[in-house]
Amino acid sequence: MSITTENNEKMITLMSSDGEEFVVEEAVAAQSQTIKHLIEDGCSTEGSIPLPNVTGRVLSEVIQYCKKHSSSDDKEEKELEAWDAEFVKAADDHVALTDLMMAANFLDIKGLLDLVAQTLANMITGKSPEEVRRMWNIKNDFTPEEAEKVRKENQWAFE
Amino acid sequence: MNKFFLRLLQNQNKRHKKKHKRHKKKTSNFSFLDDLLCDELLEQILCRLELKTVHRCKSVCKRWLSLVSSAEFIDQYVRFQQSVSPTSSRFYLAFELQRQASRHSSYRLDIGKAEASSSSSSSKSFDFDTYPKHTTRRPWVYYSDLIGSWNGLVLCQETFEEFLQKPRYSVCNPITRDWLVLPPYEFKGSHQAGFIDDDDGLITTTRGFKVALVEVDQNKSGVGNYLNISVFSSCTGEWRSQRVLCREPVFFAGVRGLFSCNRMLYWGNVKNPNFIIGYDTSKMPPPDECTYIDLPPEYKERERSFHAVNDGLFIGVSQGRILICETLLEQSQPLCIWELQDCTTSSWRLKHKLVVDSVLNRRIIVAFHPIDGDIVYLAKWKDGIHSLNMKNKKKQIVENTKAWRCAVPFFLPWWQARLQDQNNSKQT
Repeated sequence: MSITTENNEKMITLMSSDGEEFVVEEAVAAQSQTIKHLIEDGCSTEGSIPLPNVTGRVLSEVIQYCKKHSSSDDKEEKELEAWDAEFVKAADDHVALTDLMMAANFLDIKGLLDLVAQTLANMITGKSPEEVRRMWNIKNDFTPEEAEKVRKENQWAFE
Repeated sequence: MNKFFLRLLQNQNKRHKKKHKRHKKKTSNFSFLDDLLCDELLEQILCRLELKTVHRCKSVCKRWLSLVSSAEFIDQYVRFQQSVSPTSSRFYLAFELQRQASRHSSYRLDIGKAEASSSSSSSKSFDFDTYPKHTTRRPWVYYSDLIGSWNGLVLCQETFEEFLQKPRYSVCNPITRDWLVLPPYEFKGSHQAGFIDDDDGLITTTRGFKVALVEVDQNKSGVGNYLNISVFSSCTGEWRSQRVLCREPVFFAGVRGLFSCNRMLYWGNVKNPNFIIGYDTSKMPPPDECTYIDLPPEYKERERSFHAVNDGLFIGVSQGRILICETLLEQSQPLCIWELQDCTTSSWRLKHKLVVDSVLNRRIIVAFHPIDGDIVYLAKWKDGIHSLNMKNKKKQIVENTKAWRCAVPFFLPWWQARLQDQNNSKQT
């Protein structure tokens, strides 16, 4: 369903995987290449756009990002950077960031994907493999011999 | 309704299942990253890591190890890093510092940043021992010289006290500090060695390296008409030699006299400084003759040689072309840099002509910037190394160490070069 506001801005309804509906301006939603293509193909006129693998919680964050980035122009680059930094900080932890990254990937929002990937990369930087495993809850599936071999081959990276 | 939308809806069920799986796992100590982030997204994160961190990440788990080890990932990593750190920022000068007074002590190489712009003061310099790890440091290692570099690797010549005529060549990756001692070579005469540079040598990542050795097939006077041109390839792990005829006797002096670009080798003949000799290593079968490149007319018929500093000529490579200029800067004379346009017709182009500042008087040219064709590096014994931009005349101190012995352009690749081919790794 498309609604038009007073200032003639076309509105789009997005529906999260858990059934939550979000009404946003078309320009905001079009930050997502995936949604942009759907709008171009006329899908938005048939009702709300279902986003089957983005939860309402994540979608509201994504929309927050898109709103900010569709309203700012290039002149405010510095301010936007500061806003981005606050935004990923607010996303709390790597679990939330991972959700956000998957949503950004699915919705094809390059700026957000880059931002989150960089944030996650910064979290890994300076951590030992043990710390990375703990952080991401990854099982160490190496045998002690294999672990020793990999470690030895990459010894320089630990110095 | 378009196809995409349909697909989206069709996927809905599948994705819901995945979500359920995740929820189930969440209660039982799930491994959410492995479960949820596909390789593509994990790669996006890992691409942004510093080289050392990426290699540390290989120890996390098998999935990460295989991902980081794959050629596709290395490609993606290099492409990403190239987009954020331009080629020019990866260039260094490798300095060899004067060895300590006692010849029994080891010494180090310092690789310092040689950026012409002052903005990049985040100088990453790293040093490494000149001795291979597996070599016991014995006093019989008498001498070691930095010969050249290619794609993040350096070539060193080690000379032993009891075999001065039979040096040993080693290739080192200063970042991983891995060494590969090249198999022994039966020397018959004086020689020069160097890496063979292929056309895109600056950006290659995982390809093997080649070292060339041009040796005079010596007659009694120490001068020869035949040369043995041997090439060591890290892919095969062995030397392949070709006997090559040279139209006049060749004599070498010094250690850093062999240059390479686009798989051609170039060197000067001390006995006849009227031309540069070239050899094409890309041809199959290997040619049995050299090519000769006349020097720019200015340099002809003048008493000079390729090794003596005071009246010598300096050969180097920049932007994939051979450059030549006088080694010593004299205040009275402009610094002329010639660029080789075509080696078959010996045509040279005067690239730069500049009367230099008196501050730089009596300095010698030690290197050309391999990417920025306007920059040369100048040095003076006990007085550090300067860069000079031939276009805007801007000069800058790049290294103020007084005890430098030589400076070799060094390119730090985005991914570290391998010393050995994996198929060939048994031959350590």
